Amino acid sequence: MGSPVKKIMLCSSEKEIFSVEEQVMVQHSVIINNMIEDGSYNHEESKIPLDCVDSKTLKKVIDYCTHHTHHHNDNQEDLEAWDAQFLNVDSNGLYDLLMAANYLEIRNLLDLIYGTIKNMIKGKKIDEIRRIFNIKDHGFTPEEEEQNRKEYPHFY
Amino acid sequence: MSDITHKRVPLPHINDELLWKIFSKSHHKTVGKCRMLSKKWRHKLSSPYFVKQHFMENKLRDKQMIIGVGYLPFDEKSKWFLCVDVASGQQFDFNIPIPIDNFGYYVLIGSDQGNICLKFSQGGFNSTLMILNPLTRRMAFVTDKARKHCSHAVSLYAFSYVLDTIEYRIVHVYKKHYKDKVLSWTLYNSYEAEWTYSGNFQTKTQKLGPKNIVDKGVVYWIGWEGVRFEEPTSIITFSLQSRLFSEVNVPHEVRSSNNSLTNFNNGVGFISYNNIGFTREVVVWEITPKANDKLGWEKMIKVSGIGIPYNPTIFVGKDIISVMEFRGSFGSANDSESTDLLISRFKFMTARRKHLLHRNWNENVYVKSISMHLQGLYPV
Repeated sequence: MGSPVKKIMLCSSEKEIFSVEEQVMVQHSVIINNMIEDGSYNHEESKIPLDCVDSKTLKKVIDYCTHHTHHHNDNQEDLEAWDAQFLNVDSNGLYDLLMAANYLEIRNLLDLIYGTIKNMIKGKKIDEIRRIFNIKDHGFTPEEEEQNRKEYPHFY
Repeated sequence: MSDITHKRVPLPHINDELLWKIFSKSHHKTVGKCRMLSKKWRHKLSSPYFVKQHFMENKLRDKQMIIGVGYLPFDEKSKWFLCVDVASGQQFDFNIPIPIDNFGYYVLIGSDQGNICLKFSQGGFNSTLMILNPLTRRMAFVTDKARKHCSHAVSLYAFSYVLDTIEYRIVHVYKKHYKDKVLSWTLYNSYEAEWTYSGNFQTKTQKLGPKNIVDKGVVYWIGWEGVRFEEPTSIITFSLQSRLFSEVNVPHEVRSSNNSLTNFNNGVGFISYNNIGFTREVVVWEITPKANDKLGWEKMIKVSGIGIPYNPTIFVGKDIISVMEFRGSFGSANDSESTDLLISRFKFMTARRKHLLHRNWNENVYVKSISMHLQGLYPV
């Protein structure tokens, strides 16, 4: 007891600095865990620059990690409800979170986002999925596309 | 449109690597649909690498059991199949695209990586082997080698994928008389689409199988001896990859009045049944391959209870899925015949039984085969 909780500094793309408990990030992010373990992070002076994560997203990611560290003993339903509330963001926000989680390698958060995207495309028509994933050039010739539509009419 | 939510708005461009991960965790139906997204994705989602990864990611869900049902007197020949979800007991349609008439039959040889190997005949002796993916409805056909070996004492098939590939192989083993010391075999591989290799294996065992269990590309049969071939004396294995047989004695302490093989804990289990009064005791021994063609035997589970049938029974993790048939008929009137089929899950830890499915027929039918099946997208 008595020793202060170890903190690390994370720096967003807007150069805003967030101070987080080291344990929280180490537990969730593979990248940060590696940085701490191989000693490339200096507690006195260095901060971890996350140039591709903006402040809003970084704050959410830290929220997620903090909640899942301190509430991991909660019952499953509460956690799921919290996760659902957490992911109640617009699709740009979801995309930013996905990129941040991928960059920091936060496995649980990635799985959570994959699940959400999976549900987004479930039962959707092909054109809708193309729009969701921004696939503009499908590369099929008009004849092939026609053939696909004929063969699987319920997909379109 | 009033129902526009944020979810309809396009996501900014997600890179292919992340999309790949999302698709590999998606349901098979979604994957099938997404093959139409673009030419690039059709190619990627049909590649062996994707198909394998998708199967790995989805391995733990959608476990199904395929039950072949038919009439006497044919041993393993079914007329139709039931397909049941192991977790929920929900019943699925399982129609084989090729119909049979009154004189035809199906024999289920095996199921691996989402594909099923069947032997079928539309009547008469012209039987054929079929590889079927029930999900994509794709089929492939293979000549039936056993056609030349009717009235043989042993004539068996086994079907499996070669480990970590999308190539499957079918082995046919046969010998004419029980007293023959030589077991002949021939092997089909999907890569060349040909029965390519064949050979002989010296064996002490008189009777083999008929049930087989395939684990990691190795086929396991029980070898039987004794007056009515009731004594399980050996385990015969055949590796589809290295094409090598082995024959290992079954230790005396694991033999009992009734024995069979099962899939168990991602491996193979040897079941011994013992009757003690009214209760039946089931012991499962996990068989693990050891160096020098030896097998390790480890006692894993002991369950006793009333109403555990000998066979057919399969183990799913630590639960027993039992399939029970009850046939009732009164007098000789045809319309009084009936068969009830009860599929239940016997939880080993709590010794509690949960019924999954009940089916009834107004005639005498028999369960011919039970196989575990996992849905997958492997090409046939």
